Order: sequence, then C-alpha cells, then structure tokens
Amino acid sequence: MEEVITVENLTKDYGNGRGVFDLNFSIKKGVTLGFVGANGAGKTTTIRAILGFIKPDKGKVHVKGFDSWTQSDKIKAFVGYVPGEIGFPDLKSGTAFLKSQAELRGNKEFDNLNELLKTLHLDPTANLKRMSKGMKQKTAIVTALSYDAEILILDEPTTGLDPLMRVAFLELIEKEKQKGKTIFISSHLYEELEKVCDYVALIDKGHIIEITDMDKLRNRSVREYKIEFNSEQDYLDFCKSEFEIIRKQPQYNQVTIKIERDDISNLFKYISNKNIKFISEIKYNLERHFLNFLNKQQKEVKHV
Amino acid sequence: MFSKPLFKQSCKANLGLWSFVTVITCIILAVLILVIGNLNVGTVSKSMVDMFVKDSVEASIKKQSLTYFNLTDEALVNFDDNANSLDQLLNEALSSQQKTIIISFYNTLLEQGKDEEEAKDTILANLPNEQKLGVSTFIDYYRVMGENYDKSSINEYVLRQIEITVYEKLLEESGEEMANSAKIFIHQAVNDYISYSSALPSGQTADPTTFATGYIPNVLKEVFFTQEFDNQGQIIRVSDYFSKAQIGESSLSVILSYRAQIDYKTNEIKNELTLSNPELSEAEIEALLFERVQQEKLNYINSLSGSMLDSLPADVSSSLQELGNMNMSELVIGSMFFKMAGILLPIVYIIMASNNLISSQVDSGSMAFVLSTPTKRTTISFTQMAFLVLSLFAMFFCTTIVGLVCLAIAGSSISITYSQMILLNLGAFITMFAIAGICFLTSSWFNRSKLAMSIGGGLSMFFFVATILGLFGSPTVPSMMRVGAMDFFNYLSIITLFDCLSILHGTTAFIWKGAILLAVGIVCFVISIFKFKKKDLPL
Repeated sequence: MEEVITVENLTKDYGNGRGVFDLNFSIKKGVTLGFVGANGAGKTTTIRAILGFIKPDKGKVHVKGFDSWTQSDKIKAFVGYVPGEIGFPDLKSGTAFLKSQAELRGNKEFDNLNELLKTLHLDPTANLKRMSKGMKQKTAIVTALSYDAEILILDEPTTGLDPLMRVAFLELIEKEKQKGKTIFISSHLYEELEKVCDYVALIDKGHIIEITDMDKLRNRSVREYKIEFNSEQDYLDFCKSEFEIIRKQPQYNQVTIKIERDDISNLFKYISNKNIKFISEIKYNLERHFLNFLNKQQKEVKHV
Repeated sequence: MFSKPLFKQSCKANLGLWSFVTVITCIILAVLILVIGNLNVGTVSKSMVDMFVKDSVEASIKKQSLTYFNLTDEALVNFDDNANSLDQLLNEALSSQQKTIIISFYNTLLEQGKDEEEAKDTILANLPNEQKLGVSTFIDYYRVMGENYDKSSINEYVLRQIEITVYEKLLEESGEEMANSAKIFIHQAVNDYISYSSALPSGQTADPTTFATGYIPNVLKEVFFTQEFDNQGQIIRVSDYFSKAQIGESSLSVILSYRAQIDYKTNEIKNELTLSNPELSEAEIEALLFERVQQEKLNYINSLSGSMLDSLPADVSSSLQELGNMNMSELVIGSMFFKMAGILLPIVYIIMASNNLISSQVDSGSMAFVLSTPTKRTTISFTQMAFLVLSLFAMFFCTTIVGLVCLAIAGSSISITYSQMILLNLGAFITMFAIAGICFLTSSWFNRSKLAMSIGGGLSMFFFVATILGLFGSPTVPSMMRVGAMDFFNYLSIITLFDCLSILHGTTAFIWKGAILLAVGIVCFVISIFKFKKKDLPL
C-alpha cells in the first residue's frame, strides 16, 4: 500500500537532550498511527516537522511525496490539523473563524460542517475569546475535520474535552477511519489510542522505542491471571504444579501466572476443586506493554 | 504572493485600532490648524514683531530728525551770517562809486580777453590786503547776480551757495541721492525761514535754531507719514504705527533734549578749554570748541537714536528678533504635529498592529490555522506587510484630506501651502513606513510576542522620545529655549530623517532623507519576509 507519510532519520536537537533524534517511520494510506509518550518526549516536535513548521537538523519528512519543509504549502492541501495548543485569530465568532479558514483553504463550502457541529454539540456563534478550553478544542477539531482532508494530524486532540465528548470524538475518528483516511494522532492517554489506532508508536526522550501493532496486542495468545488461595497448603501445591508462575507473594498466598489461551481450561479444571479466594485476569493493555519497554530501557541505562 | 482572505482577516482584527488612531490623529491635526488659523496663537509673536518694528521706526524718526535738525540749523545760521555780512558789504562797506569802478574795471578786463578768474586776480592784485576779501566776495556776487544789491537778491545768492555747500558735503558722506534731496530740503527750509523772518514784527530778529526746532518736526511728520521701510522683506508703513502728531511729538522731543544737552556740553567744554588753555586767543578757543561740539553732537545722535534691539547684547537681541520672527505654523504643524503629536498614535498603531500580524499569532498559536491551509509563508508575511503598509497609507491619506480641508478653512493665516501639506503627510507616511519595517522585522524575527513588542516597540518609542528631546536642540525651537547639546538626540533617531523644515522652506534635502527612510523600510520588510520563511515556528 502507498506510504502517505514517511519520516527518515528525522533529527531536531533543541539541546539538553530535548528534541527528536533519528526518527524513522512511515504511515501507509488508511492507517491510524497513535503516538504516545510523556510530556516533552518529542511528540509535538515530530508533528511540527511533518507539517513543515520546523526545519529538521537532519533527515527528511515527506507527505504524499512532498517535502515537508520546502513544499510545506502543498501538503496542507491534504492535511487537517488540530494543534496541540490552540489560539484563535482576532475574529468575533467561531462562525467568522470557520468562514475565514474556508476562504484560506479556497473551499467555498464546508463538506460536513453541520454534522460535526451536531456530534460535538458546538455552537459556533459564540465569541472566540470567551470560549472555554473544551469549546476551543471542539472548534479546532471541527476546523480540521470539516474539509474531508485525506490526512488528519491531531496533536492531543482530546485535551479539555469532557468524557462524553471524548467518546463522541473517538466515534468521529472511527468514522473518518472508515472513510479510508490516514490519521496521525498523538496523546499521552493510552486507552484513547488503544480504541482507535491500528498502530501505536512509543516515543521517549526523542527516540521511538516501539511501534506496536494493536491487532497483535488485542489478539495476544498469552493471558495473565492472579490467584489467591485461602489455605497455604493449596498455595504451596499450586507452586509445584506445571503452570508458569511469574510472581509469588507467599504472605498473601498469591500467585501470578502466565498462560496460553488454549490452556485456560486446564487451569480452571485444576483450581475448580481448590479453595480459592479470587481469581482475576490481569489485562495486558497498551500501558503495560509500553511500561515493560520503558522499564527494560531504564534497566539498560542502569547497567551502563 | 497575496492572500485575500488573510488580508480580510487582518482588516477585521485591526480595524478598531486603526479607526481609533486615524480619527484621533485627524482631530489633533484639524484642531491644531484651525486653532492657529482662527484663534491666532501667534499674537504674542506678532506683537513682539510690532514692538521691534515700532521701535526701529521710532529710532529712525529720531535719528533723521536730529540729522535734519543739525543740517538745517547749520544752514540757517550760515545763511543768517552770510546774508548779513554780504548785505553789509554791498550796501555799507562799498560805496556805489567803488562798486561802479570795480565793475567797469572787471568788464574792461573781460573785454581785453581775460577770463573771469584772471580778471578777478588782476583786480585783487592791485588792492591792499584788507580790502581783498571784500572785493573778491563782491566780484563773485556780481558774476552771479549782476548789479542787484537788494535783500532778495542777496538772499537768493547766499541760499545758492549754502545749497552748494550742503550738496558737496553730503555727496561725500551719503551719496548723490541723499545730497540732492538734502539740497531741495534746505532750499525749502531757507525759503521758509526767509518768509518767517520777514513776517516777524519789526525790531525782532529771527533765531535760526528756534526756527529749526519748530520747523523740522512739522516738515518731517508729513514726510515720514508716507514713508515705507523694508524690514526683512516685509514692507512696513510708518502710518501703520504712528500718527502724524506722534511723529511730530517724538521728533520735537528728541530735538529739544538734543539742544539742551548740546547747550550744556558747549558751555562746559568752553569753560574747560578757557581754564586749561589760558594762553590761547578767543578765536583759537572757538575753533577748538567747534570741533569738540561736533564730536559731542555725533555721539549724542548715535547714543539717542539706537533702537532697543541695538542696545541689547548681540545674542539676546538676535534671539528676541528670532522669537519675533518665529513662524508659528512651522513650529506647530511642522514640528509639533508631524514630528510629535501626529506620529505618536501611528507609532503605537504600528507597534501593536505589526505585533498582531505576525508574532502574536505565532505566540498564541493562531498562525497554525493559517499555516494549516495551503498558504505559503511568504504569502503570509507579504500579505501582512501589505496590510500594514496600506493601512498606514490610508491613515495618512485621511490626515492629508483633513489637513487640506482645514487649510482651506483656515485660509491665508497659515503659511503652509497645499502642496507642502501633501508633502508633509507623504513624509510622515514614509517615516512610519520605516518604523513599520523595524517593528515588522522584530515581529517576524521573534516567536515570543512580548520580546518582539518590547524590542520593536522599545526601539520605535526610543526614536520618538529622542525626537522630542532633539527638538529642544533643533533650529525649529527659538534659540531662547534651545539647548544646543540636545541636538545630539537628533542623531539617534531615524525620525530626524523626516525633514519637515526642508519641506516648509522649499529645499530639496527632504528627498534624499526620505529615500533613506524608504530604503530602511524596504530592507526591513525584505529581511522580515526571508526570516519568516526560514525560521522554525512553535505551532
């Protein structure tokens, strides 16, 4: 499939370890890539480089074959962008702003404005200056989505939105995905990305540590369970069994085990005649997945 | 290169500020022009000019009064003396027989082919010394007047001689024109004197000095009243400042005090001379006295007739004169409006607008929305620049219209022409263009709006303040209030390159200075566009 965004050896060094270093990734058409990382990890820097707001120290970014820095204006024709930090020009109302943006784009009509406004419960006639954080965010989202742009670049699009609106927003993104759009979405909230992304990249201190295929994560064959026994004897017996135990907590008579999906019935058979206090599945989500990577990295650092 | 929607957006965002600044600036200009035009702010300066003019006219009246008085007095005294002695010679010293003999002898000599001088010399050579002078005078008289020995012929002869004396004396001192008019004046004066003395009751003799004292003011007041002076290109009529009576009064009073002074001095000097030179004869003392008195007269005329300005120290009098000649419209419109009041608000507008147009949008992040549309960065900065420059042009177009209309209302009381008003506004626009360039450059250079505003705005404000301080050292301000060292500030401010005085005085210096301002602006805008194209934006 056609690669819409390619990032090669992208380096932008702001000094003191800030910036991004030697990033390499590409996004194929129709793929939703999540971009996760702590504050200051380099998410926004990457996005700025993709949009051509900053000049890379090294490397190149291409969007649909156009160089981000030198042909910045060309790529904007395909891109809808929600900035991380939102400031509006000195215009009276949201309507005036939307109109002005449409004129700047050269669009005379909005493609799906009314639908968007309805979904997000946004009244665009409000005064731009007096808008709350959430309203500003919604206005920015409407601006980015209302042109049917092929590529959406969203920098922490859900900040300031209330939980209901988050859900509505994620539904919107889901719809856009179905239209075959390529979406690049950054966030520091894992569960948001888990829901909508095809791939999620983890960035830390300017380096991409891992790009995870969400399908694989969702369909992981290995599960983890935590079991607490009422009697110590049962606990000791279980420790001797063939199940793969990854953590023992004798003071509580607890074990954590790792088990293939196909073997789960064996486990339940085994514990069915034991006196157990509880059994719970430890969900292996994106957060845990990435924490593993981060911990691993930290250990490596310690060894050095 | 140009984005209409962005231009529209900038218009909407800055319309309020623009209208406010334009309206206030226009009002200030209108008030200044109408106030100077109708309420005559220049009254003080005008009365000062009047005072100086009046003073110098009066000084001139006094000086001329004394000059004419002296001239007339001397001429009349001479006339009296000469006429009396001639009368005595012709009608008493020489008998009619003697006269006939001399005449026939003289005529015989002429017939023998001698010319007049030779004939006279031959006659004199045969006479004893004591008679020579009298006969010589008689022959001279005969040559002119013939055998008429009556009073009026004698008077006519003496008058002619005095006229010649006066003419020759003044020809040397003051030139032909003056000598001629003095000759005519003396002719009239002597004739008037003759009719005055003949009208006196018998037994009384006329005193030439007394006659001259009364005569001169009477004649001069008629002469002066119609006179015109040229005061620095301005024609001043004496009749505008003095009535005939005033002229006569002033003339009479100066003559009287002059006479009193000279009488006193004459006595004093005579006493002094007699005491210190007992060996000299009376005639020698008289000669010395005459010389000294002449000197005193000159001194007195010079001391009395100097105008007020002449009596002050040179720099004080020149600064007073300058204050008097100060051009109010030049100061108020040229310096106060176009270098201070009229550009302050436009500068504020420039600082705020140029900040709004670029750096504030980058700082707040709203530039991200513009840049997320297919708009080139050069298009953005060019459009914003175009907006800034066009809005300034529109602003000064408004002030030009207001200025022209107000000039038309104020009429001739303001010494600024329509074309000067247009040039002044154009100059102010070009100055603002340069300042806009600087502010736009800082706005494009820095991502932080605060930094851009404090550097660009600070610099502009510095220029403005330096201009105000420099004004106190510039030639626009009367030297009385001028602090020369303050001129230094003019070299620190680019607003100095806006040369109002050159425009108002019709010189061409403002053209090359304006070209520099234009160049500064253009360079700044070009750098701005390049910088904005190349820099990293935190959006």
